[in-house]
Amino acid sequence: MFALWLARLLAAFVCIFTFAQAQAQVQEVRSGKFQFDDRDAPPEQITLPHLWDDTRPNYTGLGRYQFTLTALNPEVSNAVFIPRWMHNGEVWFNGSLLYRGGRFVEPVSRHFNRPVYAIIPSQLIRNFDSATLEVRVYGLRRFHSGMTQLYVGPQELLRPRYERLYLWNITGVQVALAVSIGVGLISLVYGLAMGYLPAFILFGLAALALGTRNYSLVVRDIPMPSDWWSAILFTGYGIFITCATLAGLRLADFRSRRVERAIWVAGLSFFFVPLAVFNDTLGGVLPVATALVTPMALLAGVAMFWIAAKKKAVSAMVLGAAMALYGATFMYDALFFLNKRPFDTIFVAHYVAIGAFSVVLIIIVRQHLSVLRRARTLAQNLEGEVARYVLQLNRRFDTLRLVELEAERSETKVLERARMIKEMNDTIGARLSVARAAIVGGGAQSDSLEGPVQAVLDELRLMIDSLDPQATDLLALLGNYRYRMERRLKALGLSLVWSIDTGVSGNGPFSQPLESGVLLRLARFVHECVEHAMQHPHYQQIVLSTALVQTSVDGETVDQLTLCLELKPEFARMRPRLPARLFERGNALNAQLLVREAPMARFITLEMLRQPT
Amino acid sequence: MKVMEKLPVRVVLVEDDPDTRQRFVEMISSQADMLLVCASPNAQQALDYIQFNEVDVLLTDLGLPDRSGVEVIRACAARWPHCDIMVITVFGDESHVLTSIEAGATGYVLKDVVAVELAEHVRDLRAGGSPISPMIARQLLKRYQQPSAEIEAASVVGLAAGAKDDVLSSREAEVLGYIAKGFSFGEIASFLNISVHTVMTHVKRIYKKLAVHSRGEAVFEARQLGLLKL
Repeated sequence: MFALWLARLLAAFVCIFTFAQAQAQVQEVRSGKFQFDDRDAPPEQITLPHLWDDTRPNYTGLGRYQFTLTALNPEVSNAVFIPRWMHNGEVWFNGSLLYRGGRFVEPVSRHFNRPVYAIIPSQLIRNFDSATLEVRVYGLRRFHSGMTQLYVGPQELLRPRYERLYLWNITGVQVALAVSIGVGLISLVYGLAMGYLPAFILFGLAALALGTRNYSLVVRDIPMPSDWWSAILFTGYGIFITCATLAGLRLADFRSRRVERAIWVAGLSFFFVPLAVFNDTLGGVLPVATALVTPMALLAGVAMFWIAAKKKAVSAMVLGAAMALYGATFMYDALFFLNKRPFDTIFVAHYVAIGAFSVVLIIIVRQHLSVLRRARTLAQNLEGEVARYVLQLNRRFDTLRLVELEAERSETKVLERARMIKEMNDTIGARLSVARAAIVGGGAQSDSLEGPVQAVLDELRLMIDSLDPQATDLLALLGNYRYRMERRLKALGLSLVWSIDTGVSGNGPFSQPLESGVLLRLARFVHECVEHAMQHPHYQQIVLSTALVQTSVDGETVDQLTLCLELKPEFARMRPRLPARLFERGNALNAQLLVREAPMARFITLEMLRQPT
Repeated sequence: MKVMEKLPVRVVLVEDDPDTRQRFVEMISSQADMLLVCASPNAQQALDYIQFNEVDVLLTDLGLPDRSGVEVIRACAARWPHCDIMVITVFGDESHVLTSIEAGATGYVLKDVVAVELAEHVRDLRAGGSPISPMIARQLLKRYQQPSAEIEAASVVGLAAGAKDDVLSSREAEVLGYIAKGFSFGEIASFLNISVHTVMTHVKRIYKKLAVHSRGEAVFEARQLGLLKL
């Protein structure tokens, strides 16, 4: 056991010793010579990091750096590590090209965020005691142009440094931007899916604009003209600020067409910033433009926070704070362009954006869901209230309907009373008067009295039947009539054939029950036909038939009831005159009465039309 | 060979109007096959008679001075189940007739009936024919056209013991439907390809089912009146 621990300690000591020795072998190159590619002037001595845009801000082209390296250990694998150059470049070692990042002619793909790492082949080292390293840097006007210090030494020492920087400058940023874009898409889709929620859609567009804009800083080999690239950077920033601000205002429920329009104009005017920046006559405006544009996110965020705080809109406050935080870190990153931060610095705004906007999305989604829940509860309560009011209204309607029905009933009673008085006067009264006159006259025989009295009784029965509240079925009423009359008809030698259409049933022939007055008139019509047959002994048979059909009158569908009495005499010539009141019945029923004479029968037909309800 | 002499039909008449009662007494007395055993002007007298004497036919008015004729019908139906009961009415208004049918009556006669017709009615009734008017048939149909589920539910909870027995069969409902449309027994028999006698049996069964509703009440009243000693 002790031997094992001893071996471990020894191994650790060897490692530390080897590391210290190797560390000592890394050369940090901070001085060299520099020469513009378009000038014949001799190279000047410079110190790294070196930027030439202070002296030649309008220069777009190559700058050549030359460094003399001390001897490298050919036994180990060596490499060159440059944390940053602006914007593209090449690494040459003893006249051999080791690395190329991006192009030197338009359209230029930018590699300024990518650390440079180039392996030096051992055969290039073996033949030389000292080595010359040349770095050609392609710079863009108005931007920082130049490079940081560089490191040369064993790969095993430089590679971890390179990978760490690559992680923070490229991989980490790409992940952060992917998340930002994802947040934007989620918000956009949510806003559209939930039925067009402007705040979510604007916030989504803001996150998408920012993510896409920043992605152009870390993407590799997308050739794009420099001016376009600058336009995308500024416009994307403008769209981000505009959409985020408008989203915040929506969340804060702040509505002002004028303000919204002004924000759109201000945001989209960012597109013109690069035109000014890259205009040669306005060449000196880059710092001014940067100073004006960069703080916009911070200012907008603070303003939004202030408005939201006044409106007590939590989600808008969170968005304002996130935007202000992002704006502050963005400004902090921008110090790089003012040469206030190390040239190999790591930009932090991307990382702030991912956290800030994710939190914003979570908060506003939660708030929205909570609002939806509240709205649902409110809707349920409202539904309950509405149902309660509907119930109340129905009750009131029922009450009113009862009153109305009562009024209708009273009116019907009055009409019915008038009708009954008329009927009783015309039939019962008239017949009783005849009977009384006969009795008073003294010549009345029981036979002569029987007819009027029987007629009165028949009339009274018909009236009672028609007034029965159950008697709304015409067939039942006619059937009852038949039931009562059959013995008498039989005694007179008359047969009554029942040939009714059984479809004429239920609540009568019509969908609406027939009124007692109509029923009585119909029954009386039948009775008068039968009575006519009873009064004339040569009639032998009565056939009663009914039919109900639907027919069209003036384009409207109506029910047509046909009631037909076929009176069959013993001899064809016997045609006694029909009572005139039969035709009155037809008129009173608003029906058509037809009498047709056939060789062996007389057809009395009543056709009545009614609109189905 | 001994020939069994047919016994006359024992008729009890309950009518408060003296003229009508007198007319009916004369009409019944004129029939050889009928024997008027009691002509009562009120319900109590009739009930007293019915309690101790068997009756074949009861003719009763509904509007009696001391109590309703329906009570007499119920008591008679409970005491003498084979007795045929007919209501005497002026116009045969269906609502009163239906009430009396529910109490146990099987028909009605109008007050203006003539002797021949009355005798015919009584004989028909004794022969097993039960008159039923279309209006009554329609009302019975409406009454029995309740959802079967309701009946089943009622029988499950025991609220209507024997409720299923009271429900019309499809044939009975068919017969009732034709009657409600005014067809005669003969016409119905030809429609359904059955005999007139079968139609009458159906009608009688319908009457019995209707009377089931009031049977409990009838027994109760009969007991109250002292007609039944249980």
